[in-house]
Formats: sequence, structure tokens, C-alpha cells
Amino acid sequence: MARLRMLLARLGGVFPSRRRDEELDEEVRAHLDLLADEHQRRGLSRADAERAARRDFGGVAHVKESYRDQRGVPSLETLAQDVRYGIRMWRRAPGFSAVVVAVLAIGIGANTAMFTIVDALLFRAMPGRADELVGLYSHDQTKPDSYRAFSYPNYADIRDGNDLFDGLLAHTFALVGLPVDDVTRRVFVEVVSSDFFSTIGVPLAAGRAFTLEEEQPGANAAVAIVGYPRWKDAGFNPAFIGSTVRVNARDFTVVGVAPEGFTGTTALITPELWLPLGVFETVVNDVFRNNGTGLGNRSNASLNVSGRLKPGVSVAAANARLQLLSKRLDEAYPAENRHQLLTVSPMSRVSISTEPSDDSGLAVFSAVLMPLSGAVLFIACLNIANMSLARGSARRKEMAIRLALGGGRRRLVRQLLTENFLLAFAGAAAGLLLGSWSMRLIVASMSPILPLKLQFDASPNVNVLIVTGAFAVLSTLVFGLAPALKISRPDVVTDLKDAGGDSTRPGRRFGARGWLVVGQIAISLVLLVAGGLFARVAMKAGVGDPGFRYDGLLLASVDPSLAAYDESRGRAAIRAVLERLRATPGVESAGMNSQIPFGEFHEGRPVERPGRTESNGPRSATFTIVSADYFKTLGLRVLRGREFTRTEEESPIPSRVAIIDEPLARRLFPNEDPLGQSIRFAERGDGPGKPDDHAPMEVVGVVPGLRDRVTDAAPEAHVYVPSGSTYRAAMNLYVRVHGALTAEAEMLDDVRRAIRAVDTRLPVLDLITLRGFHDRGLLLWGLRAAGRTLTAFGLLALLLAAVGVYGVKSYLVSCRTREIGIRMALGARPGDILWLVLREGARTTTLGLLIGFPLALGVAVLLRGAIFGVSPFDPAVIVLAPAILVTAAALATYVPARRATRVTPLDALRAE
Amino acid sequence: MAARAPADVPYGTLDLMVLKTLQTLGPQHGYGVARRIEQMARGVLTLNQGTIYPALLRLEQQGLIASSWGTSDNNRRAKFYEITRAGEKHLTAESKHWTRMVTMISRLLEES
Repeated sequence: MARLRMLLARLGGVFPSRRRDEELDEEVRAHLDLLADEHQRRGLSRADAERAARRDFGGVAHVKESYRDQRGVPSLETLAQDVRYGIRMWRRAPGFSAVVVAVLAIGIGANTAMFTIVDALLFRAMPGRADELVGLYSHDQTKPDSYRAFSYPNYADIRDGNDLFDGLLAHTFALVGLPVDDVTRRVFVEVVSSDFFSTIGVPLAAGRAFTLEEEQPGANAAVAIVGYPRWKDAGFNPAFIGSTVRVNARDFTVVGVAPEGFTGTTALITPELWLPLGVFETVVNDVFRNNGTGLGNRSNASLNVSGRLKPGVSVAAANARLQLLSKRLDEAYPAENRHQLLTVSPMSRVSISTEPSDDSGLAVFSAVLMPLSGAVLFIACLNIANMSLARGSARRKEMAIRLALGGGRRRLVRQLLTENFLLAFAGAAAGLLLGSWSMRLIVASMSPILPLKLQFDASPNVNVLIVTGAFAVLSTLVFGLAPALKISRPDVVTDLKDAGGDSTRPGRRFGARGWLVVGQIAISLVLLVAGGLFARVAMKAGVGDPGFRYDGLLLASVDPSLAAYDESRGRAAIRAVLERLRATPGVESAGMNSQIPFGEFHEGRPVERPGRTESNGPRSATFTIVSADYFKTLGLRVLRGREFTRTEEESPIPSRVAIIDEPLARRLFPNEDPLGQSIRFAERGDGPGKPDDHAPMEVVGVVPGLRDRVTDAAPEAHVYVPSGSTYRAAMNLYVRVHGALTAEAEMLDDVRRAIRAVDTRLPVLDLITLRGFHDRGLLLWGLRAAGRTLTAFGLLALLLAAVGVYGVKSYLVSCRTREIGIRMALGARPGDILWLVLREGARTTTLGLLIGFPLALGVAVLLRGAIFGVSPFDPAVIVLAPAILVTAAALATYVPARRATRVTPLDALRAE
Repeated sequence: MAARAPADVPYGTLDLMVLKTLQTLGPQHGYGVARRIEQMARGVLTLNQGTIYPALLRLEQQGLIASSWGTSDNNRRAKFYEITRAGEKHLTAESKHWTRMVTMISRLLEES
């Protein structure tokens, strides 16, 4: 009870109170007066009596201090005092504080931004109970790593005949066309089973989920669930449910709205629309459709399946039971399920795959990302530590006085740390703003080039707040503790006598501060090299081309299937457009293909020589459907043989011809002439396809290799088949323009008019110069973003290091004013002094480079996998980065060195 | 052995001394308490008079004494402290404890 009362009384006393202080003053004064009166009565003079009274009383200030300690809770009390004092120091040195906060804001902001990404990828909670989902996988036991997706009948059998799952969902993706003005925007939609939302465990924001009837193969009910943003755009209008969205030129009735922030089974990205499995045949495109048969076909394995296990069922237990289920399916449908084993395993947060995958790649990515931004913060801290030390020398006298007056060292260190914490938290707050602002910028710059919505909340959540706070505390310890310890241990006597300056200790020229600068230079070098490498990658990717000239080349992507054209109508429309383009004035030639070099999608197929599988196994090659004149339009020379003919371009009768490129020719026909030889597509492990898919084809031409991705170092193998034999609705038309480059933009309009003249309803997805298409590429965007970010980090580090070098050198010069003055008096010329200071600067820089260079090379080697096509020892970077650093350090040393040469013996005398 | 210099006040005993003084003399200001203790302890303990103020505050926070402003003999405003009922009880208990302690230590020292 007494203790509680005491605590309450003391807590009340924590708050500073003028009244209480005045009362104590009065009490002490009364005491001293009474005491003095007493002494006076004994015969002392009033003055002597008062002196005697103070002696008897003891140190007045000390008593007051311990009285105040008793009054409040001492630690809280001193904290409040330190904070008040810290703010006062802040106001006294606003420039210093502003620089510290700014430097920290940059350092912490960079880390907050990076962590926001890492958090979204790895840690942020997923919608509903998506974290509990496990993936269901089907795997051919006779072949290693041979996984495949699920057919609808298999999925339905597993879902309806098991007691393992509380819910089992199936989904796949489709690219559909949504009309925007007069072009068609191609977006991803997710085609899902009826229990998709209930299995993930989220209630819809409005409306209803799909029904079992809508899920049935062939049901083809035009209903859709839309993403939250659309509903928001509609002002949450209740009439929105029941309205229609136009998908592939067909009206779909909106029956539900997904909840806000819903991202399905993965984190981060979300489609804009969900459609029921029953519309599979009408919306799912060739690429996602596997072998082109309907949803009801048991051999059409095109669905990804995941589910939530019943409570108490472990993954291991489920796998044991699934063995039985696999066997039952194998027995019931041997043709489709031979050797297939079902397994479940936890799912990746970010990818949807037919085979088990985890997020270890992301963890590695994060493990690379965080240290890079961490290094910036570390340099920032070293810098602030340096500035604090320099300022500490200025505060040496203050510290000496405090120590002389009986301030404990522990107390002083605490005071200094509190000051630093205040700065760090201000820096962290600014960094938080900076971080989330830059994240918003990144997301905004990315959104227009994605066919998906990035569901990325850049505003900081609890995780980010905690981590940012941790950064602040950590950085305070890094930049604050050592200086605080050092500052609080001055030589009291010397410092009280001297006006500051280290002249009495000339032996310690290369102290803690020298090493801090060495550290900064070393880390800056690492960041500069990393940044430089990525900048080189981005540069190379930016100017690179797939192997043909971009100039005067236009691209128009069309997809008649998005207007619900069937094959014959689609063929007719595309053929008419191509004819029209070829006849347009100013057009040199026109052709088309099924995938754009340096585009986002690449379709690969294994190619082999019939009957020679054992010695010359299948080679994987990029599979492209092309028209006649395709190579001519791109400006590629046919090396041997010929291009496809118009007949082969148009005739739907299989023509059994193929063109291969040099890399594939080298691999399949190492020492033979490929012309006239036959090749065929090898079977893949995902079930039987149409038999004529694997018929032999005659090689009629050999063309030069192309690079598919901006990051490919060498051309990949390609196989080309004529558009007549294989229909693809999504085609890219290429137009080679006559003459000057200026004609490109005008020609774009001509192309648009030509297409519209043929068919006003034909969905045009893209109409752009090939150069423009290349610049907009997702991969290039990522490389450029990485290059810019890392270069910015590197330059930031460079700037900080230069400031550090400058600060230390200026400080050392000012400390050695006397020494330099004496040297000058003894006949040293300014050049000698300049050399003296520069030499010492060179020593610091050299030491930093010696430490930093091997570190930088090590990091470069670690980055090898990420710097496509650029050697980790890229000469430009390896030479340039240290050169820039040396120049910056030399400049930062030169300025104080120049100042040193202007010291006169008189200055030295005055410095005494 | 030469006469020893007066020792500092043993830790924890000051509170007891203050309480006893207030019980004996009745309400007193800080100066009165300090003088009384000083007189009693002359030659044995040195007391910085100021140190009794934190002690007075501590006792007051524990509810063992109470304070009020009044006027001293020479017409100065002064804060007067007086022992409370809880303080009396505390003093009795602590005195007993102290005596037992001292007796025990004396016995221990005499034995050898």
C-alpha cells in the first residue's frame, strides 16, 4: 500500500512543476536563514554567518537535485529532462540537425521502401484464409519433375470424392479484350470454380459467388465478378450488380464484387475480373488452353488446383491419403491418369504453378536487396557519427564543465544518446514519408505496362512501422554510441584550459574518424560498382535489338478472338488487313508473327529429328507462327532456302514446312545441310495432343538467330511455321516503312486507317513503333529501375563519403593550425603544406579502396546471375567507379588542403 | 588508536532519526529537525543538513509524516512536518527491529 502510494506520488512528480520548485527554494532559503541567524547569535558577522550556514547545509544544488530525483521517477524524470535538453541543442544547431535528419531520412527511406517491397512479397497477410491454402499437384511418377495441371473432370472427382479438404478451388487465366475508346485493352482475367471465394475464405463485397451450374463445362453463362476498384468507380451504386461489362465483344452480367484488396491465391497482383469455369471454351486463349480441347475433356489439363485442408489434417497425412485417391483415378481413367500421383504442399505467395514451388527465390532476392539499401543507411550512420565527433570536439568544453560539476559519465552518455535518438526518430519519420512516396512513384510508373492490377498498398503497415523504428534505433546505436563514449571522456584539465583542438595530441591523427572515412569509401565503392553494373545492363538492354533494325518498323497487334470471331472469320479478317497494308503507299513490306521478339510472352516447343531421338534428343526452341515476307519485313536475310510463300501463309491445309534459325540448325544438324531435312515437334509430358502436332516437317529455310529477351546474351534457337498451317487469333503485324524515319508517326495513322477500313470491329491491342514497344517492355523497365535505384544509392553513398572526407580533413587542418604555422615559419612552402595534407588524404582513400575493391568484386560476382550479359568485371565499371571515387575524395581533400596553405605563422600564434 | 573522524550517516538510519525527532519534539520545520539530529549526533556523525530534505520528502510520500506551511519562531514562513499515525506505527516497528539488530550485533562482537 505504502509502495503504491509512493509510486503514485512519484509519478505525479514526474511532470515538472514550477510551484514545487519554488516551494523547495523557499524551504531551503528559510533553512539557511535560520542557520545563519544561529551563527550570527554566536558572534559571527552576517556575511560569515551566511557562509557558515551554506557550509553546514552542504551543496545546495546537489540537495535540490537529489530532492528532485526523490520527487519523480528518476529515469523518467531524466529522460524528460534529456529530451527537453536535446530539443534545445537541436534548436541551437539547426543546420547540423537538419543535415543529420536529411541524411537519415535518405538512408532510412531507402530501407523503408525496400522493406515495403520485401514485406509485400514475403510477410504481408494474404486475403481471408489464403495463407492456409495448399497447392494440389499431379506428377508423373515415371519421370522426375514432370508435373501437370488438372482437367476439370479430374478436379471435380477429387473435390467431390474426398474428406481431406474443406474447400478445393480450381482456376486458370485468360487474356481477354476490354474495350477502351476505339482500341481494345487486353487484360488478364481469372476463370474460377464456384467455390473459389469461399475456399479462400473471403466474403464478397457485394452480390454473389458463381454457382455450380455456371461452373459446368459448356454452361457458358455470361456472368462476371468484378474487382473492387470498378465498384468504387461506380460510386458503390447498388444497381451496379446486374449491369454489364463487355468482354470479348460479349456482355457479361455483373453478379458480384470481390472484396477490397483481394488478390486471390497470391499476394500482390490481381485480375480485374473473374469469370466462371463454364465460359472456358469462349474466353481461354490458346496459350492457356493446353491442347485445344474443351473443359469437359479429361485430357485437357489446364486448371491449377489448391485447397484448404480440414482442421487436423496435416500435409503428410493428406499426401498419404492422396496416394489411394491417385490409384483410384488411375484405375478408373487409365488413359489420362497413368502413373499420376497427387500430392499437396504449401504454396508460393507470388506464383501460380503446376509444380510445387516455394518462395526461396524471393527470400534470396530480398537477401540481396536489403543489404544494398542497408549499406546506404550504414554509410549515412558513419557520416553522422563523423559529424557528431567533429561537433563533439566543439562541445568538448561543455562536456568538461559538466564532468567537473559532477555529472556522471553514464549520465552524459545517456544525454548524448537521447539527443541522437531524437534526431534518428525525426529522420525515421521523414524516411517513412520518403519511402512510401517513392514506392507510390514506382507502382505508378509500373501500372501502365502491366496487363494486371498491382494490388500494392504502399502506405506503411505495422510491419513497416516496426522495422523503420528498428532502423532508427539501430542507426542511433551505430552513429551515436561511439561518439558519445568518446566525447564524454575528455581530459578535463586540458580541455578546460584549452579552447579546444587536438594540438596536444598530434600522435592521434588517424583515429576513429579516419577509419570511419575509410569505411565510407569502401562501402561507397561497393555500391558504385553494383549500381554501375546494373546501369550497364539497363544501357545495353535499352540500346540492344533482337537482331534486326527497329528503324522504320511499325507494330500492330490484333486479336479477332477478342471480338468473338471464330477461326475462319479471324483468318479472313487478318488476311484482309495484311493485304490492305501491303497495298498501302509508303509500305515497303508487311508480315506478321505470333510473338514479338523482346515481348512479354514466349512460347517454347521441343524440336527433334524423327527417328534420331537417342543421339540427337529434342532441343527446345522458341515457337513462332509467321506469314510470308516476315523476314524481309524485319530486315533479316534468309541464309539458305526461302521464306514461306503466300500459299503457305494462307492455306489452312497443313503444308508441313518449317524454317529454322542458325542456332537450332547448329544443334540439330551439326555437320549437315539442314535444307530438305525433316524435323518434328517432340511430345511433351502433359498428355496426348492432336496427332498431327507431331508430324514431320521439311526444313525449307535457315534464318539468322534472334534474341527473345533483352537479357539474352546470345540468340536462342527458333522454329518458324507458316500461319496457314496453324491458326492463332492473337497476331502481330509488322510494317516496314519506306524512307525517312520522320514518316514513322504519320504511318501509324495510315496503318490505323487501313485496319479500320477493312474491319471496324477488329480489336486492335497495340499500334506503336517497334522502338516504342521495346522501350515500354516490362523487363527493360525492371532493369532500368534497378539500374537507376542502385546508381542512385551509389551516388548517394559517394556524396556522403565525399562530405565525410571533407569534414575530417577540414577538422584535421584546423587542429593542426599551430603545426602548419611552425612549418611555414621554418620555411615550408605552400606547395609542401598542400602536399602534406593531400598525401594524408591519399592514404585514407587508398586504404578505403584497398578494402572496398575486393568487397566490390565479391558483390559483383554474387550479382552475376542478375546482371544479364554484362561481366561482373566489366572494365568500364571496374575502372570508372574507383576513378570517380578517387576524384571525389581528392576534391574533398583539396579544398581543406588549400585552406591549410593559407595558414600564416601569425594564425598559429593566435591559435594558442 | 587516534580518535576517529565522525562517520557519515549510515544508510537508511536517517529516516528513523527524522521520525523519532518529530515524535519527540512534535511538529518541526526542516531546520529544527536537522539541528536536533546534529546535536544528538555531535562527534559521532557528520550531517549535511541539506540531506534531510530528500528524506523528509520520502517519508511524506510514504505517508509517514505530513507537512503544512506555518510561521517559525522568528516570523518566517516555513514548512512544518509532523508524524502521522502510520508514522508512529512504523517508528515503533522499526525501533524494535533496530534494537534487535543492535543487540544481535553487540552479542556477536562481544563473543570473540
